[in-house]
Formats: sequence, structure tokens, C-alpha cells
Amino acid sequence: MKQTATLHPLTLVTDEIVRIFAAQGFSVAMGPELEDEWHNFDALNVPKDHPARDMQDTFWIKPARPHEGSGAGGGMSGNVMRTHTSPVQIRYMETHKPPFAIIAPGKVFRNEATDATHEMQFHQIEGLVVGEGITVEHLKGALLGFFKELFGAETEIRLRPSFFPFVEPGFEVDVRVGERWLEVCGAGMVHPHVFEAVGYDAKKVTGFAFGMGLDRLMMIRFGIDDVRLGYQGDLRFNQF
Amino acid sequence: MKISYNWLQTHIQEKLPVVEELVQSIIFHAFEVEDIEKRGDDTVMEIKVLPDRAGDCLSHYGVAREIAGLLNLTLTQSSYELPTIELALPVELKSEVCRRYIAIQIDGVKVGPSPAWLKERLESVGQRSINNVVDATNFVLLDSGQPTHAFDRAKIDGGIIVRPAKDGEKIITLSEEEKILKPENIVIGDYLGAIAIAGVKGGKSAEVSTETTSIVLEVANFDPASTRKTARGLNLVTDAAKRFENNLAPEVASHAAGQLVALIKDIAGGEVVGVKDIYPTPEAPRTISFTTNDITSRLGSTITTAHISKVFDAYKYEYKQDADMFTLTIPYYRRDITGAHDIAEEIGRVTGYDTIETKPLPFAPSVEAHPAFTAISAVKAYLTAQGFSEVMTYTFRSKGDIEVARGPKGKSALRTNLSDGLKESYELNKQHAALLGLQTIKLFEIGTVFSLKKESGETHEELRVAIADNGSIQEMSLEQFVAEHMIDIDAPIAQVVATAGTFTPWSSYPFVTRDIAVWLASPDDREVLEDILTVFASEHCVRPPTLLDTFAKDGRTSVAYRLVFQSMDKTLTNEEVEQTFATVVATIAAHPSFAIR
Repeated sequence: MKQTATLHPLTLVTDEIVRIFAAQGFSVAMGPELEDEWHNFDALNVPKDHPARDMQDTFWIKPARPHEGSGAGGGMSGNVMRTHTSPVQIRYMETHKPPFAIIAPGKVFRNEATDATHEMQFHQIEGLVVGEGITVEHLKGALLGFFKELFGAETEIRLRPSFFPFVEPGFEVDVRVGERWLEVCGAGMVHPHVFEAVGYDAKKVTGFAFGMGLDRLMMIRFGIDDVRLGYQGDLRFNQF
Repeated sequence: MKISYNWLQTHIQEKLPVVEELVQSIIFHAFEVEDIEKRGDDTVMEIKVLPDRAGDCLSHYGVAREIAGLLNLTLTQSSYELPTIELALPVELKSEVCRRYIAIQIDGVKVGPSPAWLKERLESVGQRSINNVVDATNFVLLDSGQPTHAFDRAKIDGGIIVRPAKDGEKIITLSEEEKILKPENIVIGDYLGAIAIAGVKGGKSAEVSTETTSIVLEVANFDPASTRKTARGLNLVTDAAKRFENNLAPEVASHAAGQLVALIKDIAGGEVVGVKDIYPTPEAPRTISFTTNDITSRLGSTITTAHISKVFDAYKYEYKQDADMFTLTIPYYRRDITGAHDIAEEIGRVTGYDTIETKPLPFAPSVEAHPAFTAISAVKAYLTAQGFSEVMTYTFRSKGDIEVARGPKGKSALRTNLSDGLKESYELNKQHAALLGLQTIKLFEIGTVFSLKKESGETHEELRVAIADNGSIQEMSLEQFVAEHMIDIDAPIAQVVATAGTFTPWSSYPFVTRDIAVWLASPDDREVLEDILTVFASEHCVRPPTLLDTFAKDGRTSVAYRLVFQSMDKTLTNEEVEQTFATVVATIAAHPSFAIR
């Protein structure tokens, strides 16, 4: 254990990831943790009746004054604790024009039972690249470059079909670290509905997005087997 | 969904590849396979059908159709014709939630046990055999994806009405649970009351029993959103509801009805005496036009026009092609396909994402510093240089201005400050000071707090910094902290490299400390003493010895160290610690250069 002042392992991992992406030209973007339904769901092409919007999965904010609720949560305020960092994509696109490359690290919240690998608060990092002529080739290039820096030059990646409402096609990205293939990243080509929601011309620009669980990367990087230990304010967690 | 390899084979003319190969194809070109279980001469795969394909692939036939396209195999064709005898029983639709309703009456059935092959099929995917008629409906669901239901004709009073439930209307389900309904729930009713919850579950009152001789089969289609709401609301997540929630195509009903009738006649006998098919608005086939460029603009230039037509041919899709311009007739079962982006996914996954090249970004973005992120990094560097360590605590607290619905028990409010959490963190770490080898506890957290604006009732969030310096806690906004401490956020920050090594879990049992103070014969002996203590600690203690103090008096030097004892599996007794500690005390005492103080 270090004697001197220590940083939380999540900070160490986040800073390392941000630095690797910055070297590839990615800028940091941020957004609020308490989000509105539009940015967290609607603009991301999540259907109104999608299971993800259920109270079982999402922390809906109670209205400030009773009886004012209007949101899909059923009498809720229409605001949520963001369930992913993807709303930062929307906020960034609303105020910027392509081409650009961003990453957005941040805290997210899910209403689920906690165990050694699930917390109700955790961290994600979101990536978004939009411009003319952006294809899956560039997604593969950016992610392979990143994972080689993070896990070593021998690292390989592979894409499998997956589904997220805000991308099409969507992928699960596996990374080979040593002998093991780890599932660490969801990705895809930005869905045209998302571009339409922010007023981009979906016929002119394309883009890719990806998201990773920072806590999971921290656990892999440092060999931590219980994510819950990280949010107890316990200095024994700061071993690196 | 559980998919049986042998069952799949019944839908494919050629011999399927061996399980391992088949699974690889599915994983890299269609769906995740979460589990593979050998069952006698069969293998059952747990296939996680992606949400956008749950409308056409939550069935053996659906998965077989996907595999046939993927591996260019031939589907076994089967066609069924329903007799055109008008059903005497009145059937009426009084809700648009019902998109199609086929009712078929069969007289003269003999309800009894199912044949062995049917029992085996159902059991292979974890279903229990009930009787031949019910098993036939379950088989058709798992085979075609179409939920169906059998009512006892004798127990239907007057006729069938598909309608919204009355407020407070009750139904006893087949699993003998009473459910109280609302008008948002759609029911299948007879002239007396509800006999089924539409698309979700059958009712007890018209259940098929061993006495049943005449049955009415329902092969229907219900609106996804409504079915989902009802199933969730009544806490009845059934196989049927899962199919309708995922927007099963109403077209599937006719084929499944024919299949069900043929199967029941085969295993339970009887004759069809009437058929009614109410399908108010049949959907016209949809077409979609796109060019090769619409696909390559997403997947890259390795994909060619030839790839596209090859995939469509293998999947037996109807399309017209004029050079690189395509018009595809979307198959009725692929309701998820709405645009060229969906076609790109089809072509990409079938061709294989591994065939796509890896390229650097086509433009050189300029990196712009983010003010808040830069400030956070600068403050962290500033505070660690001052000896403060970083902690993270929970956003949810017992008290706050803003609450979440169904939040964690007793902690459903959002924190209004960091100090309360940091205070608890301070108390915790103070108790562990010896374990941490710290004499003073200096902590910080940077995080978001939430408040409510009094006048407008609007929510407000703010990034804060809180520091705990030996029990005294200060907190302010990130901005204010940067200003007060005159932190230059544009100054380059030294990269903190994490130390190598693997995380060591800690013990949940109490620790015990022992201090030892020693007079050294000469200051040079300190190194020898530290060696002895370090070797001892590496074997018996949870951390290296901590130097407590050192002073010189009358030409002699005194040093004091603290040792920390703790077990991973039990609470250590005083005697155990004393005994172990005594061995190192004895070693030191026996050394000519040391005198225990």
C-alpha cells in the first residue's frame, strides 16, 4: 500500500483512457447526471414503451410538487438519473457541428440489485465520432488503437452483432487480453434517428459511437473482484 | 430462448453443421449463445435473440430460417390449408389492440397423453407435458413463434368478444391466480365474463380438461405495447406475452393455425367444424430502395454490390437490382427493417465484420480542453501533492431535496453535499489508520451534488470539492476551489502512473496493533532492525512496519515501530497476537546491538 497520497483506481483508469484517446484526437465532453427523458431516451431512439424505461431499471426523479408529474415513468417528473453516458452524445451534437471526435466519461445510475459486479452507481465512457465518410473501418481502427495502448501491442479485437437502439448496425466488441476474450465494449454506427433528433442531415454524415464500463475496465486492470468496495470511501481501495 | 439442435434439423433439408461450428456461426453472424447443454442425442442451445429480432426469431422455425440464410441451406417446406367452413360461434373484435383473430372449432377430440415424440420435444427445451391439446399449442408456439390457445367449447357461453376489461373485473388464470383488471387490459370474453387475458394468459373457466370433446382454438395477434403493459402490470410475464411484445407479424397466424389444426387432428383426433379469420387491416408488403453506396458509406469499401445480392439470394429475399440500385421487398416477418441502415447491418453481419478493414480516422480532429474536466484533474493533482487521498462515496443518501422513485432502501434522496459522505469516510479511515500506516487522515472527494431551486422547483446540480483534513471538513464548488487555491488549470499535469500489481482484498476481521521501541547501539543499526521487523511483518502482519518516532538521547538513538496483526479468516485473540509478537521481541532482545526500551 502506498504511503503517500493516493488517487482512486477509477481515476487512474479514467485518466489513462482519456490520455490514450486524446492522443488519437478525441476531446472530452461532459453532461449532467440528472437528465431529462428526451436526452436520456427519446433522442437516442429508445422507444416510449422500451423495457429500459421501466422503474425496475431507471431511477425516475419524483416531481418537486406532487401531481405535477408527466413523464413516462407514470406520474414522475420526466427526469431521470442518467442510465448511460450516451445523452452526452446528444448534448454535444446539439451545440457542435461535425466533424468531431469526443469521449465522455461520467457517472451513471441503474436501478438494479447489487452484487460483486453490479452497482446502482457506476461509471461509463462514451465515444462519438461524426463526419462525412465515417465507417465501421474507422470504428475498428479507433478501438483497436485504443485497446493496444491499454492492454499491450498483442491485443486483438473482434466484432459480434449486437443491438442498442441508438446504433445500427450495433456490435459487441471483444478484446483479447492474454489468452482470454473479454466482452468490454458496446459500439455501432449512429442510428439515423439520432442524427435527425439533433438536426443533422443523416444523408450527409455518418458516425460511430461506443461505450465502455469504466468500473469493469478498472476491475480487469487491477484484478479487483468486487466493484462495491470502490464506493465505501475506504482508503484501503487505493492500492495503486 | 432454448433451441434444440434436433428440432432445428427438422426445418433444414441438409445436415446441419456440428454443434460447435453452428454455434460459432450464430455467435459471429447473428446472436449470442449463452449456454450449450448436451441432452441424450440432442444438444440444447440457450440463444439470446437480440431485441430487434425477437419478432421473427423467438422460435425454432425463426432460428432455422436465419441459419438457412446464413449458411445457404434449404428450409423444409410445409404448407397447411384450413377448411373454409363458416364458424357458427359468434366472434367479435371490440378493441384495436387485437390485430387479427382466427378461431377454429374442432369437435370430437380425445384429450389424453401426448405421444412420446411430442413430450420429448417439449421436455428438451424445459417444458412440461400436460395433455395432447395443450402440448400441441405449446409446441406450435415454440416451433413457429405464434402463441395459440385452446378453450373448451362447452364452457364458452354464447360467443367470443375481444374487448377492454371492465374496471375491477376479475379473472382466475390457468395457474389459479386471481387477477383484478383495468380497462387498459384487453380480455377475451364470452357472454358471461372474461375467459382469457388477451395475448398473456388463459383463464380457468374455459380450461380444456380430460372431459373436453369440443375445442375452440385461438390463433390471434395483439398490439406489442398494450400486451407489454398488461403483462407487466399484472406481473404475468409469459411466453405468449413475450412474443406479442416483440411485434410478431400477424401473417404468422394463418400458417400456425394450419399447423396447429393438423397436429391436433393427428394426436387428438376430431374434425374442424368451423373457421373464422378476422383480420381488419392486412398489411401490404413494404419495399425499400437503396444503392450499394448506402451500404458502403456505413460498412466501408470492402463490401461490394455482389456481396449484397449474394446475401439476399441466400436468404431467398425478393429484390430487383439495376446495377448498384436495389429494391427489396421486405419479408413480412422482418418488421425490424425500416431503412438502409438496417440493410447495412444485415450485409455486415452475414458477410462478417472480420472482413472489414481497419483504418485510422479520415480527418485530424483538434483536441479541445474541457474546462470542468481539466479543473477536476488539476484539483486532484493539487490535492494529492498536499497529501490528500481521493475517495468516492454514494450519490444516494437518506436526506436531500430531490428523491428518486423506488430508490435504494432508506437512501432514495440525492446528496446535497459531499461533506456528509466524506465525514463517514473520515471516521472509517481513522479507525483503520494503523492498517493504512497513516498518522493523519487527509481525504478528498470531487463529485456532483443536487438541489432544488425554491422558487421554480427546478433541479440544479453542481460539481463540488470536499476535503477532510484530520476531521475538519471543508466543501465548496469546483470553481470556487480553483479560484481560492489559485490553481492554474492550464498548467500541464504530471501523468500519474498506476503502480504495478494486483488488488489485495482486505480482511473483515478486527486488527490488533503492537508497538516496539528499541535503543540502537549506533544509528547504523537501524537498517538491521528494520530488516528484522520487515521480514517478520511479511510473514505475520498485514502491512510493513510503520515508523512511529525516533529520537536521540545521551548519544543513543531510540526508534519505535508499529506492527499490525489481522487474520483473513478469524478474529485474533490477544494470546495469539502476544505469542507471535513475543517471538520478534525475543529476537530483537537477544541481538547485541539492541535494547528494548
